[in-house]
Amino acid sequence: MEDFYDSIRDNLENRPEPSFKEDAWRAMEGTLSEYERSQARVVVWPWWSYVLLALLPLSILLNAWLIWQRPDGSTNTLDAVETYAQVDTILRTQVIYQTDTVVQTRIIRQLVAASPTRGLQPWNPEMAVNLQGLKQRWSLERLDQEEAVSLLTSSGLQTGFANDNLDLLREALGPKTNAKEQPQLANLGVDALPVKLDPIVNQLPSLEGERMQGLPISGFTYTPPPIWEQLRPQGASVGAQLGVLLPTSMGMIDPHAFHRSFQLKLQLPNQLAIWSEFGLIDIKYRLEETGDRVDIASVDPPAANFEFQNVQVWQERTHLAVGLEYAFSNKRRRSPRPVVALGYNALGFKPYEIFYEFIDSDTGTEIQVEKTIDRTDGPMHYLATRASYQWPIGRRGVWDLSLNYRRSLSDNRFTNPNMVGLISTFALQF
Amino acid sequence: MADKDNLKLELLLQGCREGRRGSQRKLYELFYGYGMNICLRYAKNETEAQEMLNDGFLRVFTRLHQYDSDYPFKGWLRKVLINSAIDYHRKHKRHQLSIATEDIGKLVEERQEIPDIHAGEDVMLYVQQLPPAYRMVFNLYVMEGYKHHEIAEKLSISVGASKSNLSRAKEKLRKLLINKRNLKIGR
Repeated sequence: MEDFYDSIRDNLENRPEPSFKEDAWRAMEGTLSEYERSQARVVVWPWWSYVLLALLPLSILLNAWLIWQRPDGSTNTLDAVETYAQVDTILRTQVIYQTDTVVQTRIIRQLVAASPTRGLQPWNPEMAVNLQGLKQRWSLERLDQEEAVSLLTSSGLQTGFANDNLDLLREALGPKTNAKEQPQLANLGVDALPVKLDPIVNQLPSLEGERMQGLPISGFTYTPPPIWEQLRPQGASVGAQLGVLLPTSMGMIDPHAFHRSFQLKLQLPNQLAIWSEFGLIDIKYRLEETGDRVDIASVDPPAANFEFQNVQVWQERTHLAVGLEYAFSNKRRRSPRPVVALGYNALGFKPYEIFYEFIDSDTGTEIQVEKTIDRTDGPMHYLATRASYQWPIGRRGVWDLSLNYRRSLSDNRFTNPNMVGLISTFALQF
Repeated sequence: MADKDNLKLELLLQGCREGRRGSQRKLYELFYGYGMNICLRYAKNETEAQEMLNDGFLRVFTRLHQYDSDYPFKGWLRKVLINSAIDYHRKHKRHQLSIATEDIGKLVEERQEIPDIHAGEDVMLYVQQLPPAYRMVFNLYVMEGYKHHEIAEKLSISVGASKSNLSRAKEKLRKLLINKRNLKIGR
């Protein structure tokens, strides 16, 4: 027996080698090029990109909410808003703090001692020194109102304005009878005194003609750009979705998918809305082949007499989508309306299961081999489109029935099948 | 001379690692005959062998970083090609052939005429006529020196199936060689 094997082995080992064929290399080169193209298409996203992607809709909603919170829109001129100013006697500048509901504080700094004409302006070093003395005397209870008015007037301020400031000064220093507050009052800098901006602005026209460093005082008047108006949210909604999808790739047997997710929506002017969804999609299908073409790895049969029959794939995919929606009606809540939407959809992989079915053709015995796949490649990209009809339910509720079509932007249609389906959404509007 | 060849091979491999098409072609050309001879044993014809070879070389080019240059390249290439042949077999097989384990003893015990293999006779033609499952086990056992339990593990079959396939392969091969010899004598 071994002699037989040895002689065969010798014969095969010493067989002359076939000569190189140019056609073989051309086929090899084609395979290599195809492989390189497929590799170039695989974009592996770093882990933090998932975090950013998840934060994107939240960020949009948060920003929109902040914009929404602006009092009476955002066209207000900010000179009517309470403002705080500080005089810096060292740098000879005045810093004006302006309360803003969105960014909280607006700071404008300008030089106040640039020319002799500034000497009579409210925020000059001389006035600051006078106020400092005023404060000290106030602390020592050696100051009455008439004297304070006199001091402020001598600093170039009108009497009325000085009185206003005196009131504010009293307010800032607190009740002088309260001895416990005296140490705190002593530490209060005069440059922390709050003043009303209106009188200051009234006295400032003469500054406009002069060269100033920093922003001109007219910078207080803030007019939002027109696009701001177009993006101001009109309302928001939170909803839950359930649906059935049909993967449409050729070669799949019994394909179906279940969709469940949450939806956040922000209503914009002009019947537009920003929508985002996050949830899960279960995709199930069968194939009669395995390998690279269908992106399903082959596995060995449990025994030699078993033949491969088919493979069942059950993929649970994470789903994140964001997009823009347009309603063909400007009646917001009380009537049904048709809606179309377009957006981007990312489907990520969770570990999923594959069931390989083998059959013994002699006995008809079937065996199923289960395999769990944990993919590490990045999310698959889709273009999401939707046409739906929305019905109001009650005072705040909305029911939306939509026809969805998700088109894969990736190449392998088996791992990323195009999907069409119906999704039902119930949302609450705010 | 050997050092010069090794240096040339090392340069070729380096070029392949960097994805240079010229280096890939030269490496492919250099080992085409060697690789093709291996693949022909696992294939039923030259076309199939060509596909196995290209599958194997694709693995070589894409996994060259796994090759340890302390060992001969030919040995690594051989292993890659054999694995490629096994995968090809798995991918394309439709009919698994096996016999019950109890028949093995009967097959082995039968006294059989062992034909002589003459110099210049190409046994490859007969090996290629074996059914895929027999051919695979036969090659792994006779040519690569694997044990039955290793073959069973590699092909995901039972040890009994491996033994039976080998016996069947030997029997079929023996018959093919005898028929061929009888045909020659008849002429």
